[in-house]
Amino acid sequence: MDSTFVTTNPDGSADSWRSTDIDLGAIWYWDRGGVLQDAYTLWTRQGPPARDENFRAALNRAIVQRPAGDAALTGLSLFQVDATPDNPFDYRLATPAQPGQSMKLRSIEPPLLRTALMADLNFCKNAGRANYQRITQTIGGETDEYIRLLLPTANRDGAVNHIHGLTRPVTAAMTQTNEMSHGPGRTPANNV
Amino acid sequence: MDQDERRQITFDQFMRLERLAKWGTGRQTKLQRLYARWSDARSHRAPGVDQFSRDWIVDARADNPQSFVLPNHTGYYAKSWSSRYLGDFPVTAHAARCGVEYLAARESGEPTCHYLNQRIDGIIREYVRLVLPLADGHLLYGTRILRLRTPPAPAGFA
Repeated sequence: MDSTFVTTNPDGSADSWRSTDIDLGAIWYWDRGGVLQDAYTLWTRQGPPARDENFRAALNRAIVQRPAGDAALTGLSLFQVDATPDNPFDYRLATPAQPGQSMKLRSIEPPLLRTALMADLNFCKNAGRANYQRITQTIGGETDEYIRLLLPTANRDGAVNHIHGLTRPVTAAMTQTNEMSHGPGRTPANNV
Repeated sequence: MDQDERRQITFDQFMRLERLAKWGTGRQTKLQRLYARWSDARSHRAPGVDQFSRDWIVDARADNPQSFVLPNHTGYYAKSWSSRYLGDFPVTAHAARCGVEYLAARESGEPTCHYLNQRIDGIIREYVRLVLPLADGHLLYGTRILRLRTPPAPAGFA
């Protein structure tokens, strides 16, 4: 599904957040050899949904094992969400760089970003399914475009309590096609 | 491809849309009447759930929005979804987004207005939605359809 959240600011300008779901099978094409594909492979091998402690350790190893300067690490961002609370406003988001400094989603600004993030995280938690998307957000006049993978992980009882997020910039190849959701079989290179 | 555009609009924008809908008739839209009733019932605190028809209620007492319930709901995608959890709604992505918007309305305690434009399973819906907070974690909601197009019936069906 192609989803757009829009809010109008008091000055008449608008912020927007648009996501396009990408078929997870296409990760083998768009992220071949990359960290997102590695993470997804680890996640599927361990679950799904994978046990949180096992997946967290395996993901750290997979990233650390990559050589410094690996192109796949360029622009890569990771975050973890503690989705144990029932109320998505109370989920806590942390980054590996500052693991002790998590923030509740209710403190994320602007509200547009908070609502979009809460909707996806809550859906990911309840469905227990991975989520692979292309996102274009325009906030305060600045546009950012990236690919995001959300991977839910579970506690010992099998209940999803964490979500691991990985984002990377959109590549040039991706900007040249609107057929992303179909993966290799439908890309321009294979469509001749 | 399915599409779901959700535009949060200000209350002033919402009222402008409603005024335009009945321009020159001297009448109010269903949503204007709903707002007026809610506004009359609100003195210093949110009105009680028993002051309104079940048709317009969202039971949003749960912490998880997937557990919200619409006591009396008939929709286009799921014909009857009364008293069932939002998380079990067949159009899962739409339900997840609705749930978070209802939750945000509950937390803010203020009227919340959205313009929605969707194409889901061939059904095109464009509508305005008003959500108003009630006491004890309930919400009052109403929609006004601006455009509705359903796919033509398959050949052979009358």
